[in-house]
Amino acid sequence: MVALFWFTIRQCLRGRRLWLVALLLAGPCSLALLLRNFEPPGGVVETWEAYHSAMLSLMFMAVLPLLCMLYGSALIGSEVEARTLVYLVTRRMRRATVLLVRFTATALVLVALFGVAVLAFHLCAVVGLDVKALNTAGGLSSGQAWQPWSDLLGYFGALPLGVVAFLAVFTLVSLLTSRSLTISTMYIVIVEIVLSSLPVGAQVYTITNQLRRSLATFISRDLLWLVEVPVTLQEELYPVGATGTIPLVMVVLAVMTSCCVLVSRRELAPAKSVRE
Amino acid sequence: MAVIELDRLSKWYGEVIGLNDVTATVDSGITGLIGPNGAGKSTLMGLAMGQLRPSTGSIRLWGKTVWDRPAVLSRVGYCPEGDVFWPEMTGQQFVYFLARASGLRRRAARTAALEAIDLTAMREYMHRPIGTYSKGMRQRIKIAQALAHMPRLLILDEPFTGADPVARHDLAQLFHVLASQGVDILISSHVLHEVEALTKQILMIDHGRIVAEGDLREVRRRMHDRPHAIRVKVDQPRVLASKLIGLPTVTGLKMTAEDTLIIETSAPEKVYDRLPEMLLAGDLLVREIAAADAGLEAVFGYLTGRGAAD
Repeated sequence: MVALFWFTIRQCLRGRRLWLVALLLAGPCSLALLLRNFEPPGGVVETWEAYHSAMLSLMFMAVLPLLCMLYGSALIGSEVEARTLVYLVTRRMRRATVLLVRFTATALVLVALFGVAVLAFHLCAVVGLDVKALNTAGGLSSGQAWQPWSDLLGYFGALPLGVVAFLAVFTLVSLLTSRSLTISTMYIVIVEIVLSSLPVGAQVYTITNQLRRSLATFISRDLLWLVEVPVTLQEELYPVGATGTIPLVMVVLAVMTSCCVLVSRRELAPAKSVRE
Repeated sequence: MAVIELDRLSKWYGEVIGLNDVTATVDSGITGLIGPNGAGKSTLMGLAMGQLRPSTGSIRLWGKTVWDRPAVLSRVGYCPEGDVFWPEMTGQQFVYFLARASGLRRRAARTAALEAIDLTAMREYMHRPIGTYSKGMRQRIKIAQALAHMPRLLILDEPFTGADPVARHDLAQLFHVLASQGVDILISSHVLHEVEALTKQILMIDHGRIVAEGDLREVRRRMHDRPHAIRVKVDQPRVLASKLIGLPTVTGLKMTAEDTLIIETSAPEKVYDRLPEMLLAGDLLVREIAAADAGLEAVFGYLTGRGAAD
């Protein structure tokens, strides 16, 4: 298991995919730097909103799912395609163990990579900003002063949750279909971007919504109102005191259990190779 | 106990039949799994390795089912057909990693990997990425990983493919040595003479069915409907032919060279019994008496109605 764990980590940190990831992660930072150069500085409320809107919609709703999709679809899929899975499932490990070890290693790599990206984005957005002066000029709507570094810790708290939830979903997709990249992209666009932004009750079935709930408990409930929600739905979508952490953990457990069952029952061999 | 038992084993890929109601056993020693491309050899090996699930029937190794059974599968070394590896890994990393994944501790895995690499004569190249290897070297490193964890059974899918003649000879020697040490080997090939040089124990497969099983000579002996051919190299083949023509069991005679007579017979034992007296009576000088069609190639041709490398 230890050998497979380190092997998976090494696999995640090399190859062309890593360059793609670097580009993906560098995008929001570049955007933040550009906006800071061209946008005139606003008050504390505008800056707070701009910072959290970008962090939520760019980093957690776009970059994070895409990152998890890239790695989740390759978690078992790349070994199936290369036919190297046979080496892993014919050793001293059950198929489900192989999956779980690879999942854990990949999740750790993604937490580290996305953590660095979040930190870099934060630095690009906040360093050089006179937060004290902004707070003196006028506080947030809650009456409190804005503390960007404290908010960053909140994002770091929710980050592993987001990683494991998205990674689990995309791993399941890759086990269910051979067109995992297409299906996963459609899922990101339809469910995690469009549905999670629509003012409808079905929002609660998205990972993004549950992540938002978690972030609201870690950072501030004001984050919830960055998304336009009708007053009638506010209580349903974001009930006071409700956190997204427990639903996300439940989702991860359910999805990973399904993945383990699938991997233990399905052959996962490219059909062409075994038909001679 | 049989090493591998197939009991009414079938495997379908949708509407395509990979294996069709196969019942057979593989005993200790080296067994050659032979058949043309598409016969079902790799399907059978995939089932034996727990890579594929039977559609119906069962396959057992040492009496135990194999699907998702690490305790059983960890006693098997598998060399898949084709380029199946992580190309960026060096040969040593590849063998070491898979030895570790088989449960060996670091030091033991390092030693075992080096020993396996030495056995396949790959030490000189072990620090190079596998992606830069020649086809023969890739075959050898795949065999090394199959050996590293000291398995009781080796399942080798076309292991000679791409190997040069010297490497083929060395690999064949290696398989003989391993077999003499108690390692059972199931080896597939569509190059029959390679298998024939390794073993007389065969499992012949065609169109997903076992067409012959057991000792090659015994298989040939049981083929009563096919006349046996005996090749006699003698100084006066015409004289010998005139004596043989009267025997009721001789069904045909052919002169294939100036000194070679092929005798076709339905009862080779009777011909072998009578030949010495005929040769003595005719004062004939004999240089060779041999079965002309007891080889794997001939048996395979008879059973499948085609050449071996179709």
